[in-house]
Amino acid sequence: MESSDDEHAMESDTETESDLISGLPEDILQKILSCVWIRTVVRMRRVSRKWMELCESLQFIRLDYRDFEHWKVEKFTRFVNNLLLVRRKLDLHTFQLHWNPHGPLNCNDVRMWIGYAVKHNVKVLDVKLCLYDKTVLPPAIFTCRSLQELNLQWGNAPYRDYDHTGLVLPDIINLPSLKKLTLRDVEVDELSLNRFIARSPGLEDLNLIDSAMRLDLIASKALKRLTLDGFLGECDGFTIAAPHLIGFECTGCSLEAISWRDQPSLESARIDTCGYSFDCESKFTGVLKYAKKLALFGSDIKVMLEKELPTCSAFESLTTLEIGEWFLTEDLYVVLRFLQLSPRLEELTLMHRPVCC
Amino acid sequence: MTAPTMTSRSPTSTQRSSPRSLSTARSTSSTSTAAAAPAEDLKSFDAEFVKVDRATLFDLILAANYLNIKGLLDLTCQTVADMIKDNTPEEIRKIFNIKNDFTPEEEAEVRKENQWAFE
Repeated sequence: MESSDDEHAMESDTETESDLISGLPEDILQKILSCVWIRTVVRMRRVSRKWMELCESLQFIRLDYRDFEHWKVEKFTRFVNNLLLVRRKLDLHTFQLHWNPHGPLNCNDVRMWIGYAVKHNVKVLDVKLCLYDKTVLPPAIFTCRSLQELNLQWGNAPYRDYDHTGLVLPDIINLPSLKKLTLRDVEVDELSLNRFIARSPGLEDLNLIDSAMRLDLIASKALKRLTLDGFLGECDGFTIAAPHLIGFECTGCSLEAISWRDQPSLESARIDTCGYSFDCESKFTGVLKYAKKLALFGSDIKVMLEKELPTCSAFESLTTLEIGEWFLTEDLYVVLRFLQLSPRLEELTLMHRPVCC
Repeated sequence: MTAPTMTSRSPTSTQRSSPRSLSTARSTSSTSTAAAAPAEDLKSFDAEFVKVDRATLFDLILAANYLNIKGLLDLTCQTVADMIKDNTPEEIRKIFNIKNDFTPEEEAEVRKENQWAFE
């Protein structure tokens, strides 16, 4: 509401009479708009002709269910449809949709919106749903030549499909621009992983959450960061051949399952394993020697460290260490040895697990 | 060598849960307890840094863009976005001295369209 009070307040604030913001470069204005609540962005069409053009040329579409609380799904669907209809005919940088299960979206609408993004050469596609009632993912996503970053977290395969626990990838995967890939609850087996790696020479970041299925070899010269957080089905063991890997996270398999070829020098590693023993010839600590940050958890990790730390040289770069998930107070050798070997350690976190019955 | 900061706790959740990162305090002496997390210090530093008049703020944006300083560009653009917030078009015009160059008929048309399509 406008009042005379506002005008007096504005007087002290108007160091200048002119409109400085509208003169900023277009890409900066788009960046500003990317941080503005999308419901405000559509209202800003009314501010001036220039802002109408800017809002209708929106580069970053971010739709989060928390911004549409109490909206019925039909109303939200209409909003998104109109948003895309009103948008001018130009490329889209980011399409982000985060939706929760209360009133699930119609998956056909989701497919249409993704189709729009793909047709407009989207670079970042980030869709997080909690429920998706089809087993197969839309194939168009996986042949999008412009796609640099892909994040699909759509929930498990629908309960009606007894053949699959996770969502299914299409046969043809061709993503030449892809740099970062995150998949959750998607069945990624050896064949599909190789398709990704072979067709995406620039793939640096790979995150598989509850998706890795019977993987044998993960081989990539470009890969810098790898996360395997949970596996579909049993994990028999896999080999990682990624000489330029600097970040590694692995949860949900035994330590013995992880083998290295073309050993990388990790800068950070978070390994949370569920095995009990470690009986391998090669030194696991070899990949951890130059790390700055380490988080190591599990009984088999303890066995490995007790075996290897006695003959280890210093961890020169290590500044942050989290360690444990075993009965620490019984035997503090591992902790003490790390303290001896880590001259730059600044932060140490111990996770003690009391003996389970 | 400075003594590392130590924290310890017992997990209460399932095996697969990974511990959340705790304080990133650096201890500067062996007797000091965990100091205020630098993350909070940085946040308040950032907040103070952008408490400038509008013209300076836009100059900062242009400088950050020209010099390719991503952190500063993110911070300053977020600051402007926070000024826009969830204000009405009238309020936004006021805040930034933007001239309304629509005719009354045109503006009424956009208003009706917005109401139908986005409200």
